[in-house]
Amino acid sequence: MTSPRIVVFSCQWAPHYALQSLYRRGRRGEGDAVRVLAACVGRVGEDVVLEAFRQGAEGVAVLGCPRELCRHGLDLDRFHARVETLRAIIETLGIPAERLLVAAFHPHEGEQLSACLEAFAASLEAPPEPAP
Amino acid sequence: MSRAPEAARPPADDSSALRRDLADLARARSLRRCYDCGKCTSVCPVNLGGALYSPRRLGQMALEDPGPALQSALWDCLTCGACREICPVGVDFPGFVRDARALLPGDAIMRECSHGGALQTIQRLTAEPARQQRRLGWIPAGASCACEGETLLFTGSAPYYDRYFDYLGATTTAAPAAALRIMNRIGITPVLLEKERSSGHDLLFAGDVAGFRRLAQLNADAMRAAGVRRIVTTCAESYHVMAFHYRGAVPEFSLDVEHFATFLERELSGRTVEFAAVPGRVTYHDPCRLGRMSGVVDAPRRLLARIPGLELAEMRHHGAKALCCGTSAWVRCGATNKAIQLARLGEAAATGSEVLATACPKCVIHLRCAQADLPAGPRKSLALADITEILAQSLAPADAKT
Repeated sequence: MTSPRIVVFSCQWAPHYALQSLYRRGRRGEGDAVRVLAACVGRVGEDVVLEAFRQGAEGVAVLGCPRELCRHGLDLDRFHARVETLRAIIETLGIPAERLLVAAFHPHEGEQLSACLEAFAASLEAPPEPAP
Repeated sequence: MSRAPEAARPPADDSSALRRDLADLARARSLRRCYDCGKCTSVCPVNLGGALYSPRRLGQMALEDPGPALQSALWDCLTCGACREICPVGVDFPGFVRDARALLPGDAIMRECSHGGALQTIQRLTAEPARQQRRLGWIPAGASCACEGETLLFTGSAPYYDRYFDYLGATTTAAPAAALRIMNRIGITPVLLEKERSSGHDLLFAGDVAGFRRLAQLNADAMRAAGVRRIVTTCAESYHVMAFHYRGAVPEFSLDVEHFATFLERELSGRTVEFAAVPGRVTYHDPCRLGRMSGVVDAPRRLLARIPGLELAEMRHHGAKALCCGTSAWVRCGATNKAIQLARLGEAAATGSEVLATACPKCVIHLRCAQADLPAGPRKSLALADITEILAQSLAPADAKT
């Protein structure tokens, strides 16, 4: 059985350091996911998330920094202002909103980040809920 | 949201094969007929918006030197058809631009389209055959619609625009909702299809011909399966592309296509339908795709004229000479486009109207976007509405039984 195709957009600051802490211990925290490093998740717009789904991603994760660590405050706010819009668009397209994961991690939270992505991948593998 | 600035864009393809193809296309589209009168430049909204832009000169470049400068300039054209309308020898420059974009490298769409190409990406996502959309949540409670039948109310990308442009307060589905209420009021139960896709207009005019053909085929298949024989739409671009381009993309396509304005006018003839008064003054903006490019100019005006108490005031540029709303097919939107939009809002405000009515959801979105940056004043206070919403206000109020 193959892993679900996941694209991870990750901020180059806190979540990147979190993943690096796992790399140093010989672990790939994002599993089989394709990771795209962004200057800030504020630069991750609807365009790239939708394009990831168009290119066949079954799930997209956008990993940012906790607000108090953000070096690009306005950008982060801009992204968060658009998350619900993005979820509404993909739901209209028939893609469950849960297939877009948005989360924030401190640099020391490598284990939590890895567990979060594992749980996300497992949720994508689960059979879909029967229609009501 | 993540559009690259002009200077950061990679240069266009300068291969000799592409140059040859562009020059061949220019000859095939009769750009040689041009005798340099310059009338096209005098009416081109991009030129009027402050950019140095001349269809005449670009036509010459296409014939003689179709290199990177021309290839970049192709994305500035609004394909509004103003130049073709005035050209004494019938040079189809917008048709050349539309077809030339299809020759450019495939990633050009993502580079040149506004909103990072997100709107085109949504349309490409709907072009996947297995996609199960959930696009009919806007249907008003109590409205009557069917899954199969003769007359389809086509809503195109409206549900997606409501979502994407929520920051502008866009209510694009208000027009099809109003059309549905009016149709019910005159005894018609239209088909609404969950399997409907975007019309493909934006992909066609942005150069993704294969994507457009996929959407056209999927729409034609869904319509055939539902027993549809006639398509009615409130969207000017969907109307234009289905009426004039679907037959070229889907050989077996033979459905009648009507814009809601002409459909309603025909349905009302011979019926006694009472219009309630809607006091006020309105001006009508002709969408390029509906007026100049499809010849539907008078029907919307005649419908508005039926409403008691409503005065129609014309803008300086109207009918076939109407000014564009500033952008088309979600391609390149910048300072020049904004200047065109502000000029159009200025013309509308000068009529003293309270409402700027149109028949294209994108015109409403573009003009609303321009209003967002304006300080308080006559241009900002103009209400923007689709004519269908105004007609429903008079013919089938939302609180009335349909």
